Amino acid sequence: MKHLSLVFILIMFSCKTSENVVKEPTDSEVFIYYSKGRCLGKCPVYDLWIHKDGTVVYQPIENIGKKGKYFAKLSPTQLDALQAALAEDFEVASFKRVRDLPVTRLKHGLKDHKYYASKIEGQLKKVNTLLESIVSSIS
Amino acid sequence: MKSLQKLKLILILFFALTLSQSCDRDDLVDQFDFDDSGYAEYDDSDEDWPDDDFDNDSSDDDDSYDSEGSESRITAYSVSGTTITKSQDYNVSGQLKEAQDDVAKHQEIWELVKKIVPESYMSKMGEFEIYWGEADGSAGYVVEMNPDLSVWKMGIAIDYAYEGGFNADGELAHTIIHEFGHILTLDNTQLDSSISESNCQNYYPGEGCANKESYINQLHSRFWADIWSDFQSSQDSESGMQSFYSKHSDRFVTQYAATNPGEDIAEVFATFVTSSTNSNANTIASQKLQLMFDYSELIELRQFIRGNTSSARGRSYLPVAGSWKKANTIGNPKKGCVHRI
Repeated sequence: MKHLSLVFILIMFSCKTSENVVKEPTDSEVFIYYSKGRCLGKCPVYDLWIHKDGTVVYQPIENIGKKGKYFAKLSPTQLDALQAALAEDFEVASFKRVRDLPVTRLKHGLKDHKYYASKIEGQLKKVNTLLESIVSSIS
Repeated sequence: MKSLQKLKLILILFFALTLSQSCDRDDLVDQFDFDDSGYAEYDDSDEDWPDDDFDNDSSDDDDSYDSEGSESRITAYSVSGTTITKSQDYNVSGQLKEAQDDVAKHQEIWELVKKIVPESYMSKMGEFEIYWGEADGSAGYVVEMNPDLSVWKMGIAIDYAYEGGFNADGELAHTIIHEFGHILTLDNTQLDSSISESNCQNYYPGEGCANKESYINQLHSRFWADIWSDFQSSQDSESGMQSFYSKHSDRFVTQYAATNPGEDIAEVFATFVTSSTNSNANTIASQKLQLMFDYSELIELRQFIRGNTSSARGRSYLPVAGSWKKANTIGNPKKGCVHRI
């Protein structure tokens, strides 16, 4: 009986520890979707989802050197900073296609922006830089 | 008896540890590894979080047609006939400055453009730009300069043009043929930019409404119409588009061709030009190549480019069809080999 109790405690302890591991959220709403598209060349192609609870899901697709899904968690401070940056008004010029350059896509709320990352400025650039820093932290 | 109890205890502990490890694995899924603790949280410090103070970016160009490349632009040339004249050196430093000063390389790239774009089509090119591709990974681009689609600008990434040596493996030639393919299939003889998407009865690639008999409208109606709803529903994410390609890979000459019909026809054109023979294969990808052979003017262009890029000594500037990076298959990527068609 003593031994069985010991085993039970060990199992509980090990499973409790794993609760700190970031998992794919099942019930948290997506707050931001951000992606980089294909180009004629070697552009990194990926998807990034940030959930309202701060969970980050990153899916590299091409020219990144890794495959699969990766998970992370933003701290409340970082999530607040991102929310504040998105809450500010920013204008996105109407999308005009340039053939073969990679399109960046940012969806949040009801907005769905497409743009070329090197031609943006102001608040959109700030948001874009925040998101790129998240991606580079993961990759 | 005591040693038996000890053995039992060791066995129980062993099973407990095995169980605990499997428990960890179940929860980890695909955890990324920048934090050994298993809880991957970003550092709050300012070092890892971008500085707020970056609004002072100076974009020195307001060209309405130029939507990209402002941070990597090196030199702009105006095109007159078959000659380029420098119109602007952008404010660059470091390796971009070195690339800017090496005008012989700019000219060498232009000489290859001239081998690929016939003089009669040069009037469609208003500007030629040398830029640095590493910033976003692109090798080249085209964009219309005039709203009526009569004049276009072509950009070539000088770093990729010289990666492994000038036009290594014909990669640069492929880029130029692909970009020329865009001008050929999207200009004002093919599209009407005065017709909006909502009023367009044919395929609308973005730049304008395709004429009924245009190359791209033929390609779309014959090879895209039946998978159009599937294509549109894949546009939600890049992984969705990846799945779309995986599902329909036998329809495309390269993976990039599956991006949209505009990229498809440019890749088909590049494959059509670089292939040494016509394809007899029965795939939809091969049928798209056959479509090119249905147009005598495209066959003439093919002959012009192939004749101009091969020397009597057997040297060719062209890549083997389908051998370019990330484009090394025709139809089925699982075959993993280069197809000569």
